[in-house]
Amino acid sequence: MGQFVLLLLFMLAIVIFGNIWFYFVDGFLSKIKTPFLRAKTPQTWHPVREEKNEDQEKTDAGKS
Amino acid sequence: MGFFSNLFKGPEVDMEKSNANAKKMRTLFNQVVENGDDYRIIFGYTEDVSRFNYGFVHGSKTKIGNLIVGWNEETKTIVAVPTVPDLSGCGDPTYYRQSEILKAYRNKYPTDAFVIYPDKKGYLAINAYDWLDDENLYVYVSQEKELADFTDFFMTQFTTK
Repeated sequence: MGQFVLLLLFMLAIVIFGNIWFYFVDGFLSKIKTPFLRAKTPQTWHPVREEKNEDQEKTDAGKS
Repeated sequence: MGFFSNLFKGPEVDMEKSNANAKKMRTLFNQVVENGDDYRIIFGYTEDVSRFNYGFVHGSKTKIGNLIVGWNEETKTIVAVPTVPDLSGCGDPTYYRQSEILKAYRNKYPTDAFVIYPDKKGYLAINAYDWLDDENLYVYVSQEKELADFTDFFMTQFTTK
């Protein structure tokens, strides 16, 4: 039983270390890549234009 | 009885949220596409799968790109507008006219996708489903009828093989 728990803990440690390693390397690589990607022209982005609902339009009209 | 029937019913679509998003999709689409009302629209997405090998850790990463896909049956044109799951904005539209593209077909494997090759250099694979229950990754919209109509249009009027 004790050996089984130890094996489980060992496997858990490998998984945790693997995850930390992944995020470490991935973060490092993305930091290296960022200056090269900046050279690309950024894509045009259009934020959504919220449509005013009828009640609000009436209120706005009443104010003016 | 009621408990078990609810348990096995599975997730249900929040139609209020779905309708609000459908309306927002239309607003965004009309904002960037000229005569946007001439197009019917659905939500689709692209998948960009890349493999990585970081020493003893290796696997694959998938990037999801959300799209508002519009189609016009008269002009046989498909428009793809990149967006984000919360529909806070969108990018520039890309037009795919049936008369100008290299080829288009529906792919079944590895995923069910509508594939368009505008030229030999690249392609667009549009994945589309009735509804996807993950608001962090996909636009929350129910589109059973729209998807059936888009599939019919793509297969009968747009596909080239």
